[in-house]
Amino acid sequence: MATLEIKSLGKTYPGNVVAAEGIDIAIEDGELVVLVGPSGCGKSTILRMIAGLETITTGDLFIAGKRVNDHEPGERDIAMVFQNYALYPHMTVRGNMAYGLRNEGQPKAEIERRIAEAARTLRLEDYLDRKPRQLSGGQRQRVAMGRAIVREPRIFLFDEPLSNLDAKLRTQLRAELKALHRRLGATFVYVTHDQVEAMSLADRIVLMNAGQVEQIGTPLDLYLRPASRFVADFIGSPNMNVFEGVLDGEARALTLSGGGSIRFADPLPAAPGARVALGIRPEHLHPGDEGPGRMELTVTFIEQLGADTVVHGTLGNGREPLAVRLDGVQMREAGASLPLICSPEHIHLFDADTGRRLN
Amino acid sequence: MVENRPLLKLFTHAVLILGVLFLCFPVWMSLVASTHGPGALSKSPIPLWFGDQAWENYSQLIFGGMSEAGGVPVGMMMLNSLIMALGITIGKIAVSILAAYAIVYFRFPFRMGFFWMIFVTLMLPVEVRILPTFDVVTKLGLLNSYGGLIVPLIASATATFLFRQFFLTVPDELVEAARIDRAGPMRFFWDILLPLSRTNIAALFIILFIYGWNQYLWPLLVTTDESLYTVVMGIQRMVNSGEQLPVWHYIMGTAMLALIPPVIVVVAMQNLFVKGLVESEK
Repeated sequence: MATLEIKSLGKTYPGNVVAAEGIDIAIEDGELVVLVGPSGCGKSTILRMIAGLETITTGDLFIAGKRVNDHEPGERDIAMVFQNYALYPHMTVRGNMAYGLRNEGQPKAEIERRIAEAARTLRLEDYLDRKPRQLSGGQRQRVAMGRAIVREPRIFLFDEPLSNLDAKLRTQLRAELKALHRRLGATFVYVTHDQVEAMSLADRIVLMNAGQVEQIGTPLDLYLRPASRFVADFIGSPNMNVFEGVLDGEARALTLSGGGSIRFADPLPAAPGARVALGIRPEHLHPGDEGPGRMELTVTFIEQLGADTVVHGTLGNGREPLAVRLDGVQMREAGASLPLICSPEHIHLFDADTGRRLN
Repeated sequence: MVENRPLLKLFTHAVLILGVLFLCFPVWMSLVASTHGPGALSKSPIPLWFGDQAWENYSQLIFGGMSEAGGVPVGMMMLNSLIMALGITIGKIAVSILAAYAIVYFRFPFRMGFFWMIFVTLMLPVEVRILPTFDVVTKLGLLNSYGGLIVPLIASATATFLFRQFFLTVPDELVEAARIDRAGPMRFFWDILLPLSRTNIAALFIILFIYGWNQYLWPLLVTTDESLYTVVMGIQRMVNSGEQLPVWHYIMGTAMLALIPPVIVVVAMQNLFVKGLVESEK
């Protein structure tokens, strides 16, 4: 159990390829922090620098207050779970879990005790004497987690551990992982490219883009008040609708670049005449004729998901795509018109050039 | 493909059986000849069934001295061959697996340069470098010793290359997992890489053992002492035994004996060998 502090951390690969730059993250003891972002954003590089598998170009890394930049991975008191499990194929499940402990010089009885406990936690008791190739993907990943647990590390690192599993198993293991975190009370750092995984697991999310941190916050922070257009776009499914346009002289109406306009009752928190990007989540649009924030959608197609219905269509003269999420099963014909309203508290306003949040 | 054409089946089987007979006939001939007396093979017709001299021939071969081969029992020559072949095989595997390990897993200056230097030696088999190698062995005082028989044949670019290719297919995450599990470089090599290379080692063992066992030119050069003669040399000496008629029954017997160790190696290791070919453990 330990805190993890990352101070202006950076990684430059040979050939001046910058993978990460100026990263500052402070992780509390026992916190579950998820690093999320599109592929190539540097999230795995950061995790690998924490693990010591990648050298640190600039900045400092502290585990439990101690600077560990130059420590070997084995000396950092961490454990890591890999995407492709990385189990030792010639060893049994028991052997896989015991290997690190034997290298540490733990007594036999202690190794046995820890393996038994981890196997009970992860329901692997029946598989201890099997080889990894005799196990399914989900079982293999549980063994990989077991290998991490038995070491009783200060910090657990997960590098997209669920990405190789099918959707159903992923949901199940996600719940198990969350339960495991609660039981162990250890510090978890988890890397994924899946925003749903990030939202459902994290105490706090670190959202990354192009080697830099876009926003750090609780899942709801990121959902309700995305700091930038990138964050707004990344979090939430279906994606947030974002329209670019120019505000009028009173900052009350937005003329869309794709044609048409949206009018609001109160002035928007931006300079009149400014070029802005307006974001509205599909679930925050409701059918309605009267009121401010009114817009008219022309339906192109609908997705029936059972619990809700996603209606895709266009605004104005057909150049602005828009998606709306409606409760339950709803029928709409393609080509039909659907009037929508949106309450002002659900509006996200971004600078059209920098992408930073304005309201 | 499901086909049921009896004629075709008959034909293919006939071809296969013919091929087997064609391959096995010389072995059968040697086996039969080694059980006859000295004159049997010089007369027509050549015998095709066992004679009654098997016991006498083989006990003479294994324990008695063979004047035609310098008075050394074949048993002794077999032992020499075995020591040489095992020395070469184990030496080659040990050296090349370590060389490949260094080249794949460590970053040191001129790494690729060294790799290419090893690779280039593929162009320098024993026959090409025989004079300088002989000179070196002489100066090291290794003539007429097992060391002289084994050491010059130990370096192997082929095996190094094979191990390198195999190591490159081992996922990086395995190395990283081992590093996190506090395994140092030698631990990783012993505990993980070596067990994973098991099937590769078995395949190489078969190939290299036969290579070592069949060495002829090099042993001929570095040994003048009869007690170090190898069995392949022995056969050759018996065939060219000067004025006398070749002692075909002994020659065939020696050939049969010389077949045994390679056959044992192949039979004992073929399971691992085939396993290495069909199943990947990664």
